[in-house]
Amino acid sequence: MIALLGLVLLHLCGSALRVISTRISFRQALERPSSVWFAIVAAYCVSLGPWGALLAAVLVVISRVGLSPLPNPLPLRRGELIGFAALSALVLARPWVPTQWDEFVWIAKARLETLGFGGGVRAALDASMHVLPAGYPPLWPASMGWLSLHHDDVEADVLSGSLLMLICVATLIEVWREEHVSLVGLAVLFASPLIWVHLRSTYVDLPVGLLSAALAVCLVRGHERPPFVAVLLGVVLAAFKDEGLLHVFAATGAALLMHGVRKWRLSLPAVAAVTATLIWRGLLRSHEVVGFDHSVGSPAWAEAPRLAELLTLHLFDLHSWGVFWALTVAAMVVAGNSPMARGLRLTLLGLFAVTFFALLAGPERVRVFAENGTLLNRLLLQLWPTAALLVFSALLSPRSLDAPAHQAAPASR
Amino acid sequence: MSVTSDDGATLATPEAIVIDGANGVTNAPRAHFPNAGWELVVAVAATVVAIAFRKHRRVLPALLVVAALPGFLHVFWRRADAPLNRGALASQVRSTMREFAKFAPWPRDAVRVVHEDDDVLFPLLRYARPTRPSSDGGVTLEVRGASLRVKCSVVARHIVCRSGP
Repeated sequence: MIALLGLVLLHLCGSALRVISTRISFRQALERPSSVWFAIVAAYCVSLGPWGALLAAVLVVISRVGLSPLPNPLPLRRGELIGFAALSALVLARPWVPTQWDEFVWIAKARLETLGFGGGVRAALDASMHVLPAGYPPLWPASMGWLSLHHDDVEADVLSGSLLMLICVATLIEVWREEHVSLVGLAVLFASPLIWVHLRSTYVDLPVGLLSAALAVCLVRGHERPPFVAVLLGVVLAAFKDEGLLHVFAATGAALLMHGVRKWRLSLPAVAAVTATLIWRGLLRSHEVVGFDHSVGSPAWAEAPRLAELLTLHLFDLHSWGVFWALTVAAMVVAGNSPMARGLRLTLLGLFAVTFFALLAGPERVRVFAENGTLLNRLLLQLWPTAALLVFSALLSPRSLDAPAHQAAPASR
Repeated sequence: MSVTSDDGATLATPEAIVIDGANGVTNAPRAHFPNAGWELVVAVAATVVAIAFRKHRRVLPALLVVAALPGFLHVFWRRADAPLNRGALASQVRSTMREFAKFAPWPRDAVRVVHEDDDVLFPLLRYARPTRPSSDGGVTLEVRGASLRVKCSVVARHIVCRSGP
């Protein structure tokens, strides 16, 4: 249960940092699950050493360029509280033991934090340590280690991963809640069986997707100035997994297309994400660590038809997804005039485009993984939350399809 | 168009969960989707129904839930990590992790991994030995086998961990 204590401490620290950086009240900060990311990003900057100071400096500068406040959260209704409590119970009610391949690998990296704060970063930057997979951004496993308060205990690390998953869900709910929510509509979104497998695991794919959708919502609704938390989500996405940067690009591109390229502040999350990525890549290069999974080369255009076929087969795998992706296609067709639905449709199209391009331009082993059936469903999990919000907005929302999203009163960041 | 038995697609063993549990609800992605033909027909039909009945909001939730039932049957009942089976799965994983921790405790003991099969035990050993310093002296370790429930033994500063055949 030490992970629960770790979560409380991180939330308190994050709330304090949020008060300092965005000048909201401590109570407002405490009420927001996303305050945890303030602490996690700060800890990440510290763990990177001197280069982390550069990232922190960039974030401080960005926080001063007049970003928009995030509206105060609406009061939670009793049904929503019960729904989130039930989801949490289902996610946590299991033996806290890893059972799937990458869970062991992620938690092995979380274990490096037991060597001391920043142990994961130090080991990842030491090629002689042979940490696998090499070169991956270190934040997801490091965060698990921080929540476990550096305790070398597999149950604590698994619980930490599950709590982080729930924080990602809560962050998405927090930024989404200005839309009119139908509990039945939200509940049926979870009628995708593979989601339940991953909600009850410590894989990073679903958290990347949840935060990606949260960022997309912030940018679609941001009009001109996104909230500062969107900038932090950009950093977290880039530091969780290399694909996270592509998600930031997709969300940014969609927002600029919707609101106009002159709304330059909408690209600030991308600026922060690129800075985080360049710093990590620079550190890898200076320490001569080669990350072979996510290098980018010339696109293998000849393999595009086969990859498209494989992607289609995965999308319509009835046991894993039911007919969720079929309804996503329908939602894209009938997205209507709701700004949120149109923004999410653009974002999702961008996500499919960058994901497909990453498969084409990635190393050969990535396409081998796709052929073997060990990769594409996990990439689709990263797209699922944005697609789910689109299905909700376009097909399941109780609000009229054509009504524009209302503007909530700004109050805090 | 082939329609295969659902039984052969189930991830029914702990080893199948370790290797493919996160990649799909069944082993269909690994088996190159033997039912792809009729699944595509279902998907096209669902898309058409969703567009045609988009104003009838009760139809779409029902469609999503009904289509998810076969997958839910696997997730919550048939898979080796379904709620009723998860205790046994966790017990097997714990037993193997304990054996590795007993014979090759990390980071206390210097242990050099000289052989590991690229199979079900690979990720468990990665957890047991998350760093593998090139300069590690000490005892050597080899891990062989393709199933959980590993037993280790030491012979002349050489640890051998094996699972079943």
